[in-house]
Amino acid sequence: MAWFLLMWLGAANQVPDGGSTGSASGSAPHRTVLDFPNQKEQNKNIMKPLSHRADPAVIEALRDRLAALGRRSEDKAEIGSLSLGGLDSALPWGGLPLTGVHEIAGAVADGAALGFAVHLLARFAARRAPRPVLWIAAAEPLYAPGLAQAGLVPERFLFVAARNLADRLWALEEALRSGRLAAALAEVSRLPPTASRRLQLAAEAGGSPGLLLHEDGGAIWNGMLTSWRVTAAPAGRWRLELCRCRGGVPRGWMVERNDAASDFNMVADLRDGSDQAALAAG
Amino acid sequence: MTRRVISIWLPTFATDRIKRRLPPAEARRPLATIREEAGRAIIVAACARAQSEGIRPGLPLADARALRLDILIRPAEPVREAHELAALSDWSGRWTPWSATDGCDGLRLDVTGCAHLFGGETALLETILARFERFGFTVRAGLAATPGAAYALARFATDSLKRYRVAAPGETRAALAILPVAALRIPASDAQALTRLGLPLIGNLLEVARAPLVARFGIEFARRLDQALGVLPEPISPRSPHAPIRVRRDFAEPIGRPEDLSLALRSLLDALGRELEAASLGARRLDLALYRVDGIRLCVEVGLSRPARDPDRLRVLFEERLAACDPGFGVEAMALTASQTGPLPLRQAPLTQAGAIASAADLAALLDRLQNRLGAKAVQQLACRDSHWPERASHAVQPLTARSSESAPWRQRPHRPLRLLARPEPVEAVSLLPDYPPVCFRWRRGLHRVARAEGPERIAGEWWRLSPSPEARDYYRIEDSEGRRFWIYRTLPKEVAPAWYLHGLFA
Repeated sequence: MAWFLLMWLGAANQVPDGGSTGSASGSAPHRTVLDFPNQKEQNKNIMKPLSHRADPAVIEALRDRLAALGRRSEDKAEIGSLSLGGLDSALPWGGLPLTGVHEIAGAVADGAALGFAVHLLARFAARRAPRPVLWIAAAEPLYAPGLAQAGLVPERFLFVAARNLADRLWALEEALRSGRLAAALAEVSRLPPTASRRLQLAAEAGGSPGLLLHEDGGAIWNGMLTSWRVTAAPAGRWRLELCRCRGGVPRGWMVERNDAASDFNMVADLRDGSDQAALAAG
Repeated sequence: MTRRVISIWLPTFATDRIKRRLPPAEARRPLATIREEAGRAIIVAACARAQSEGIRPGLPLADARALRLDILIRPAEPVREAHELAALSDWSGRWTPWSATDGCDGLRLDVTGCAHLFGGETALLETILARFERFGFTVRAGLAATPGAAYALARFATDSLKRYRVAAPGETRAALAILPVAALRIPASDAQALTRLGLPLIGNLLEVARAPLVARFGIEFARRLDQALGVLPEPISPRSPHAPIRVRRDFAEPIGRPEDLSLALRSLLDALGRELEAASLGARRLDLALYRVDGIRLCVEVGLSRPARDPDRLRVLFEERLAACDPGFGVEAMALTASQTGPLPLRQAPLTQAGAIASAADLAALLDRLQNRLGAKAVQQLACRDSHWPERASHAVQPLTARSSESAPWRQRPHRPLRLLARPEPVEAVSLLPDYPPVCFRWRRGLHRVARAEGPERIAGEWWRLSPSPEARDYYRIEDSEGRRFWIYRTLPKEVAPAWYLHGLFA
């Protein structure tokens, strides 16, 4: 590889330097070659600690490096977070981060994922007042009286209709990047591979939270800060599953909705398969 | 300022528009368009070459074939012809905003106060004729103080050597006097009758007593004469609506690179911003017209949610759309029109709350971007309406307009679903007793067993709004065995078998 680069540099230097484009292309190989030893050194640094697995300081250093790669999104001190009561302890940010994209999955018929999404939007709206929230969907908007009862003032609810998935993702990206919204949500049925990264970067640029709601019960995607699966449970309860969490472990809870206060209370903590017992109790 | 009007006549427009698209070898052959009439094909229009062979409109196709065996025949397409003429009229907007079509073979341009921009009236006419001829049209033009006089000059005072005539201001009467009466846009029978009476020229009409002529030929004849002389006004209604705030840039050479277009757009937006600011206005809708060298006008429209004139903000809205425009062989002029405006007074930004104002403006800018890509109706704001009828209680309004007063009462009312189906979906439900909620129901092929039910909540139609008012409904909130919650209703009256519908989903 290095040999090839050097050969190429030699060839580039032989080209007579004429005009601005020539000099621009000539400077690129210079930089590459200067960077190259550094990269090699860094690779050595990474390779060495991996052989000593037990060293916690090295693990911490690696974590910092990874966080630095993912921009500042992992910096706990800088991003505010939204407290979700008893759920906070499972989230590495001490709550749901206000900057970043979260995903909520569920089934159309049971409406629990929708309810959880609206609940989060209402919480974001209250936290980031007086900015409005934006809901991006293919067809019809939500029902205003229902929203009002869920704690979200309909007048702060903006709705964008876009049939095309690409348009919906574009709209979400623009909305997140502008940073002028309390939160933005898009209903999506699938996600192109690069979209999650783009959305995450847009959310970081605008410093705003974004939600992706997919209600066809499909798979969980990569790249979000958190991924939730919400299902309805008898007696006005929700089963919340934290399927993926950057820097955290998957968990599950059974929560009870409190309609009057537009809030929910934790009923049971469902750790690895113990949910059957909790369901029986509920 | 004296009015100056150009009338452009394209005598063989119907055939020229076909010929300019033919390969050169075929374009040299005579060409005619035909129409089916009572089972025969009749010539509708013939090109100059065919006309010189004696092939004229109205001739049966068989006779035309007898005159020239190699004649090219195309069907007449009146609608498409009208569209193409309209497109030419739009493109002529590069010389004046006031352009319109004139019949099926002419254009009218009101160039009052425009000619000096193009080097004077003669130079303007030369340019116009040269452009149209380069497109492949035979063209004649007349320039006078009234549309009627310009029409008469273009059609009756020109020939292949002198392709245009100009009547200087104040010389309209003299220029018209030597033209035949047919130039007055009167029926051919009237023109023939006048000639037989010994009044072949317009000048003759001006000398004789007017009353007997009006009695014989009608008030329409007098109106046409007065319009040509400028005694009666004859307005031109332009195809594109007149907007007072319009800026234009002409380029020395046609431009086509995206960077050049973007630069020209910036200069237009700066100029427009200054004009809007002077008038204390902001644009609600902007039209950008690109005049291409091949006679096509491209149009980019941008709408705004609130009046704005900030060039940087407007440029963002245009740039995406501009990238989709195909400049073809080049764009030689661009015009930017504020077709809708709203008041936008100069406002001093307070030092303390500058951030709040900027944030409101940024939100409006975001909504504009969304609207311009997804459509004007794509972005809406929800609002509650004080109505019991479920379909009426929620409605969408223009963003940033709703007030929050009407949603407050809903917090005390019975529970409403988060998602209301666009139309209630019928379900097969089984209830044990007539007034009872169902014990199970089938919706979208899934069977749901009812675990809990709450209701009924009877909602009657709003008889004061609709006649006949929709029938009353008994709504139930239902939770099935898996915890999913639905909003279901039964129609009244109960005498007939009740029909059950699912109307909404609770969270």
